[in-house]
Amino acid sequence: MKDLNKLFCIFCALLFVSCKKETNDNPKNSEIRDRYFNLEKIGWKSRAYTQKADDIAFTAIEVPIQYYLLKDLGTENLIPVDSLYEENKRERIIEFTFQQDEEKDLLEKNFTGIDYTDAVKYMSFGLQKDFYVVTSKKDTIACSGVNYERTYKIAPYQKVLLFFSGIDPNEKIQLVYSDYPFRKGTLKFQFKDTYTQIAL
Amino acid sequence: MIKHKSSLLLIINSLLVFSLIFYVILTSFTSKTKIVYVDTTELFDGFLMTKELKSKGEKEFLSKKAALDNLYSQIQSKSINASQKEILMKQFIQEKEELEEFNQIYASTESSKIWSRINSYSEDFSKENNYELIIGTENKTTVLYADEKINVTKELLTYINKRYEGLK
Repeated sequence: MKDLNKLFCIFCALLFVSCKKETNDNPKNSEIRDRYFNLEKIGWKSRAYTQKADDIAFTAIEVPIQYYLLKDLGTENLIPVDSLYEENKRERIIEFTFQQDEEKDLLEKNFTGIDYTDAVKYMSFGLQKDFYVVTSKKDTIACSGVNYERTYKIAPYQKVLLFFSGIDPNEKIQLVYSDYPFRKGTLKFQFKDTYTQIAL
Repeated sequence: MIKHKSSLLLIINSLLVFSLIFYVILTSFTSKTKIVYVDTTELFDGFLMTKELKSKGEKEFLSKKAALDNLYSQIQSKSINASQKEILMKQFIQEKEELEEFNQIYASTESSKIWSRINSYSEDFSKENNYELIIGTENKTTVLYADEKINVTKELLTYINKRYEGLK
């Protein structure tokens, strides 16, 4: 019985020694959380830049790619989100919207000069070649992809997501759009500092 | 004591009346209609959109012209027979017509695009500077006299170029 007690005491001692209090305050995780908190506080998107040509407003907004990563992966574990960001930080995503003053459907024939179906096709597959980006080092980057968000006449605007690759994350960019569907000429959007850091 | 108090009130009242009159006069002077003028030729030629579209049009024109010249030299060549010559001649006439049409249409359509953009930017410019009227004149032919002080061509040109580049 004494031996059994001894064994039990040794087992308890080993148990206490082997258990270590888990620390939650991983410095890397908290640094990432601070950074993302800043992004969240500034509303995730950069300032909207609008150019108006006649009755159509063209608006470009840069969206940090962390926004899409967090949307997909959630906010619980930020380390994989951040590592994915580090992998893709040379990518840029720009939200681009077309809106008519009186909220009319811009894909109608009287705006584009082509059938509605062809206009939808153009927005989905042909728009890519109308966009490019000029970096502050005067490099020209072609648009690598366009995702047209079809609204089926519910929203009063047409929205596309533009993708650009190989741009330094600290570089300021100018988006250049040569308007083909509405024939309004060239429109340029100069993005200033993407994010404003908030001191915590 | 009462007499002293009433004289003090009189002074304060008269001061208030004077300041009110002064304010009314000042606002009537400052709210004068602001009319300015711009040289439309200088504005149009100096606008970056004009320069870009001009060089784009020239490039397109030169490439079309080079193709036409090439076709002409083929027609002149002695190595081709009469039927080939006829086909090439038809092609040459068609392309020449297209080039002339391009020349006419390009200038007019692009000019209207440019003017539409200048108008839209000028509207914002006048709002920002509280101008009620901007007169556009071509080398002062439509304006008999205008003081150089109210010539805002350079200011408007800088403004529209900044707006075009997306800097404002």
